[in-house]
Amino acid sequence: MSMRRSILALALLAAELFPVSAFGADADEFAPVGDKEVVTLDPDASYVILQTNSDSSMYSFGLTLLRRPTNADRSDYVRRRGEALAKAHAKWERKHASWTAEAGRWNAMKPNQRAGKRPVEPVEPTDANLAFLPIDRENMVQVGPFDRFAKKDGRSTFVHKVKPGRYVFYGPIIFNANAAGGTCMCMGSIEFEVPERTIVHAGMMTLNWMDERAKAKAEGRPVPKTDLDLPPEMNAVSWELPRAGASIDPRLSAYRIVPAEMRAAGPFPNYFGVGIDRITAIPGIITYDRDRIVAAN
Amino acid sequence: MRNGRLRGWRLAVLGCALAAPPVLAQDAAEAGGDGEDVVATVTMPAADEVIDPATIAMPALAFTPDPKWEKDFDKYYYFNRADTDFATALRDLRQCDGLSRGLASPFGNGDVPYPYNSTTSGLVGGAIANVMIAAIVGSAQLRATRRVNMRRCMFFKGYDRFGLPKDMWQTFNFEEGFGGLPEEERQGFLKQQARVASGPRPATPVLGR
Repeated sequence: MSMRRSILALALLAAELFPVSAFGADADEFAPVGDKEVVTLDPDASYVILQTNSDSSMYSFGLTLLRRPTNADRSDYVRRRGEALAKAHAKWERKHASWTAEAGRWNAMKPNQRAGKRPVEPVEPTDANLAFLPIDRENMVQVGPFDRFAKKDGRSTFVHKVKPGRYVFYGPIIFNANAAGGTCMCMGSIEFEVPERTIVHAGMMTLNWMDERAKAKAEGRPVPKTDLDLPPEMNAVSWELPRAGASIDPRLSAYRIVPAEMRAAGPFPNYFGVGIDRITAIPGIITYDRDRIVAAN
Repeated sequence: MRNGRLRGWRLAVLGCALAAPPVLAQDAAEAGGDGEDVVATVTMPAADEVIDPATIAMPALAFTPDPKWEKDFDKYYYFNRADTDFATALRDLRQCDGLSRGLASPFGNGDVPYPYNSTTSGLVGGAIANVMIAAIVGSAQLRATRRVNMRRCMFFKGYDRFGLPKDMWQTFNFEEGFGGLPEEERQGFLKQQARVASGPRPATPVLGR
């Protein structure tokens, strides 16, 4: 089997496992607010405002939030998962019966009559091996890198309509049905509440590497080649907390914007199989004792 | 025998690349596309597993320093931490390994601080994500991601990193990728790494994160 064929087989498998419809949070309840001259936000909806530390027109960073599943979400997930298992198991029973017959015929043949390999026994689906997205994967919400609300003063601003709930900053990750890239804050992050009918400013994700490169160049210090070369207490990602009364954009001046109350969060599994890291310590919110997350508030 | 001992820690990996060789995916496709309903599973060691570190071979670590090795120390390294016993080092390495390859519970992380900490069944990992990434950007990227992930994770856990020549490194380490390292081999390497991580303090320079 050539490598190309094996890659194709795996890619097809991946595509089968992650049908688009089952990928990420429901689009109806989550939508970016675009960069329009006049902005009208739905008073019955909730929004989160997130910023990143670049106003570049050339590139933009996206980030992924994880909405904490509620008890109702969990019950619904368990039900759907159970139904999927029952369906998969019924399908397997049919496949297994035909395999039993085929394998029996193959066994009965003399070796010189046999064409190809012995049929492979289908694997029985169980709750442990069922191909079904983890519940958290159904609750990932990507904000950006497209549909920027604003880009100026060294930052990009995203305004995103979201379902009310508790949101974790999962990391600077972008994903679609076929791929994911970025780094999860799996070893330590922050979370905040988005109440009903509220616009929450969650603050700014700061990617440190580029800033540190610029600083090092200006100060004549060795330039960090990758984020692994950053000072030991600084990780690739930091967070600037939202300030009450911060002026975000004149188009939002008529709206009441509430700064998020941040709390420590994590650890989390690396659902996308991407890079793992943790957010740089934020005094008063999250610190670390080795790899143990210390909630500071 | 091994399976019997390890049954308490059965763990499924969503996807095949890391848990099972690509050959399996191919076979599954030939057998009628089982892959659409099930994912490969990995049986992990039981939480109460007891290992005598004396039974784990200690890899050779002594070498004559040479700049030709040093340029690759970002790839070929091992960890060590003072006052750390074998079991602790192994748990730490398994946690970082599990995080790096994306093992996870389908029901979220509420009761499962780390994938490897749980003794409950049905842990499912996102290794399929690695497959997708590798299919797109190539297995070199997958290897690089693991190297960096292990560095970050073990750094946070307070381990120091030390360089090794590639040929010595290869005797007790592995690269992530399409190779399809069997779980038992992976665990064997991790045990040797734990032996080193809990072993004597290396005399070579500490490399940092």
